[in-house]
Amino acid sequence: MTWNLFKNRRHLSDATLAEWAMLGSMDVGVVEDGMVLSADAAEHLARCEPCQRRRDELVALLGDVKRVARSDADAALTPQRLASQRQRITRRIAALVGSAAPARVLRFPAKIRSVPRTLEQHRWLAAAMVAGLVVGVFAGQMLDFTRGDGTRPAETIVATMDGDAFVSASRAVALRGAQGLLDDEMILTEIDGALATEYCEALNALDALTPRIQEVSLAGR
Amino acid sequence: MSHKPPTVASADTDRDTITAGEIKALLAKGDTARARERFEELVGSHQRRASRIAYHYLRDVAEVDEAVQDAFVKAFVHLPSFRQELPFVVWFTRIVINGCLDRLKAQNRRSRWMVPIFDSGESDRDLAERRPSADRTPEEVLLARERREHLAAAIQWLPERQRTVLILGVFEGYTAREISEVTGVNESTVRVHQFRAIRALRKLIGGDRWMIERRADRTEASRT
Repeated sequence: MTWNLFKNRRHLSDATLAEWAMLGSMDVGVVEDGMVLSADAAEHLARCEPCQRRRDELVALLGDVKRVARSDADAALTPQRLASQRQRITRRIAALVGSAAPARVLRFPAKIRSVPRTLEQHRWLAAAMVAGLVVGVFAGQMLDFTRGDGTRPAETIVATMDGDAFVSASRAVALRGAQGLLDDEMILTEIDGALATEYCEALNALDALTPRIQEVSLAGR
Repeated sequence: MSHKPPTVASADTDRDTITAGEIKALLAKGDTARARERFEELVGSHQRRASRIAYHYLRDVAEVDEAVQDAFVKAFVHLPSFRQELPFVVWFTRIVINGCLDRLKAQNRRSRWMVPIFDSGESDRDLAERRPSADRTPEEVLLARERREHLAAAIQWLPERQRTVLILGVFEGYTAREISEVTGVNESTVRVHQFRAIRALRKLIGGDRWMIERRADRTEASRT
């Protein structure tokens, strides 16, 4: 009796109150198998205001924590997300048990089939190749023949050039055999013509600054 | 006066256990199409709870999606080994939690070796919360977000076993006995973990500050 009175005077431990708080709204006096709560603790709690206050605060805290945690999860897990998740679960299980719609399989040939050729086809193929060769050689000869004595290209080039400064057709004929020299001359003339344009005036200053290869080689010596 | 403690193993979950037994029998007979149809009932009744539990662990909706999908597929595959003396909810919760813990371990491994390319640290929901709302002031939104983040950080800080006990016991309403069945830890140890988890949580979230904010929230709510 004395021990009981002494026990009831002591406040409940945090562990006991936590246990109590976990039970939430249950009535005081609950005694379950294996529970920490005892009849003595229940009795103490019924008449001890500080313990009641501590218990109530703990219950409120846990209730609030639960509410926040749940609302957090519920906000993240929207009904749309859960619906699509459910569909995926269903599809995966359907695929697992083999009752899903069969997947479309693209057909590939197992191996490349070679078409057997007959002897007749081989002969035609050889004849076509020989004919092609003959026609090619003949066409090449004909092309050379139409060019004549080789004056045509020079005349053509000269005809495309404008201005009196350039060689005339008669001079071009005279330069037959000196085709390389004529080509060089044409390039240099083109360069001179290009340099004479107004757009190149602006580049003259830059040109003056650029060292000539001769100057460089002389300096090297 | 004797009340049973609140429990997740309600009449619904008893029915689910019976359903799971029936599916097991269907699978044994080879009627997989029917088993699959019946399993969808179980998916319907446990999906939300499983997703919530996974969310408390993983905090990433894409990861949660995958973890829950995997858990259901695993449950279906292993239904032939399901023992009906255990409630289906307990058996399934164990699968969900083990999956989540495996994912967390994998995440830790990845984070040790890999650097994320870009992580703004903001989810779509955070962006949505930045929009002005008619019924909540920016201050309230900020306060709610802060409390949520505070709580989430506190939960993540808890040791694995305390976290499990807290998530199942406080957030989801599992009894100590059910938690003991899920985790394989004996009931009295569950209670110890439960108490330690609550004590740590109160310390981590700053119980007094939390309660003051809560009061402020309520005052604001009653004013509006």
